[in-house]
Amino acid sequence: MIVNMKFRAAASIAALLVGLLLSVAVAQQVTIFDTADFRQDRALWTDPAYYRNNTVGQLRGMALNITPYETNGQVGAARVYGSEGTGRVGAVNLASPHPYTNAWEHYQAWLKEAGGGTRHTRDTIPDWSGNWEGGAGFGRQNPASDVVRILTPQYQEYFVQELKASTEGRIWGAGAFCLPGGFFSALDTREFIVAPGRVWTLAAGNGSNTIRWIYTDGSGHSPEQFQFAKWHGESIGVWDDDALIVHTNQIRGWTGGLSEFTDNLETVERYRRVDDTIEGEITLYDPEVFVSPVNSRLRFELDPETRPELRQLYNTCVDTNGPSTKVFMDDRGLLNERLPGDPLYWDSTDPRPWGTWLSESDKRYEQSRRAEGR
Amino acid sequence: MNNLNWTGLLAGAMALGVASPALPHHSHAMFDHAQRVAVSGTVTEYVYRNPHVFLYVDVEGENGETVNYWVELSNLTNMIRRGVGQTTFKPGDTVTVHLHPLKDGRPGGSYITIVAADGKTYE
Repeated sequence: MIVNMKFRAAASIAALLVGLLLSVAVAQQVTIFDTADFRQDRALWTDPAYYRNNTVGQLRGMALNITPYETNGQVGAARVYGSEGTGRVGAVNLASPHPYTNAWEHYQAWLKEAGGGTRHTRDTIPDWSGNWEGGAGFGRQNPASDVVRILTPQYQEYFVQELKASTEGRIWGAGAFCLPGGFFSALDTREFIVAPGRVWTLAAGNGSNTIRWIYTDGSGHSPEQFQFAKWHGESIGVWDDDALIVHTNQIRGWTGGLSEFTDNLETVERYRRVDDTIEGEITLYDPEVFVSPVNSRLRFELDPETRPELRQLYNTCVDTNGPSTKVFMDDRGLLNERLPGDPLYWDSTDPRPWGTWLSESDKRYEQSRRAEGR
Repeated sequence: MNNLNWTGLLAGAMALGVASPALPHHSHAMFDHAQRVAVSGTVTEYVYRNPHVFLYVDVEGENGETVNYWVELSNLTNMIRRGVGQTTFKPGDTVTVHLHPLKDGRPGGSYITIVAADGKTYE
């Protein structure tokens, strides 16, 4: 009995010590929120605890540092800085399920399975008309550590740097600076225009437009001599009955989708309409960035909105944001906006900005001539 | 009478269940979302364009001076969905804007709600 009591006491003390040690260990766990130098934490980058189990979207939501008070938009996605996330390790398998090592091998295998492709006529081509909403998911439910695991060391560093800055409100967005969104922005297709020999995908974002031309006429890619990196790459495709298979190369390196990517990114997509959805997938091949090919589901739902005033429209970022641009990084390293009177403020109501420019040019030119005694 | 009125914090916004613009083309990190400010004044300019609709409002400051507030709304598609059109606001209108102010204290912010001259509230 006494032995048992002693044992129990010893066990309790041991458990207490273990608990204390664990709590100390937990307390000392460095996170992306309190690190002195994230670059020194490489061994922790693949640990969900480093991000307090937050997903990429949740980390970016911390830029606003509030508890959401609505469900939509940036406020709906907002999080309190450093709060615990809801990421689920392995919720989505980001690794490609396909056995191919490069995109061309992948495309050729699917082309062979399609018996060289289905030659559609106007009578047999699938009907994909209408407005669609959707795109690629890229593991939105996974903790950020799952994304880090599929990246090569250099791109892990780029990724964590970007995440840390985002949590602190230091967000670089191509659209904010009136720059093109890059290849992955073109995956959020609103309209598929399907014809024998050609498919176009169109979308109009807030301040930008995207278009892709997918050649299904068997003409293939441009000769290698004339290939170069383009924002949306160059796409060729083939029909496998009612499924569209697309190979894209010559994509300009940028950021989007999961991470940054290089000019060597090549992709293979597959789309098929099932009732009021278009289901598909995309596989990314970029060995400089990904340790193995990456795969994501593509899903689009038919948008029932038919009001004329909500039709798609051609957008440019410069309408109100201007070429300067109005959104900028201030001297604190934070995202900020120019107001009237600030240097480089773009007056979007100026009906003749070229006239304003020329008048200023006249003034400076004359001053310069006078100064030089001409 | 114009007035500049700093009201409650986030709790107030939560209690009112107010909505913010959805999915603008840049982060709203430059705005202080923990603050909700109400400004009343006279519209000096209304820009109905993408990627953001803008409203400029002359507001009387603490020392009686006129402060021109810059108010960023959402994109045209989002504003159309909320019923905001070309003539919803015009120069000379008296409006009350609830906004999340710029973090650096300059007179501007991201709108939450706007009470138009006819008393109608737009979210």
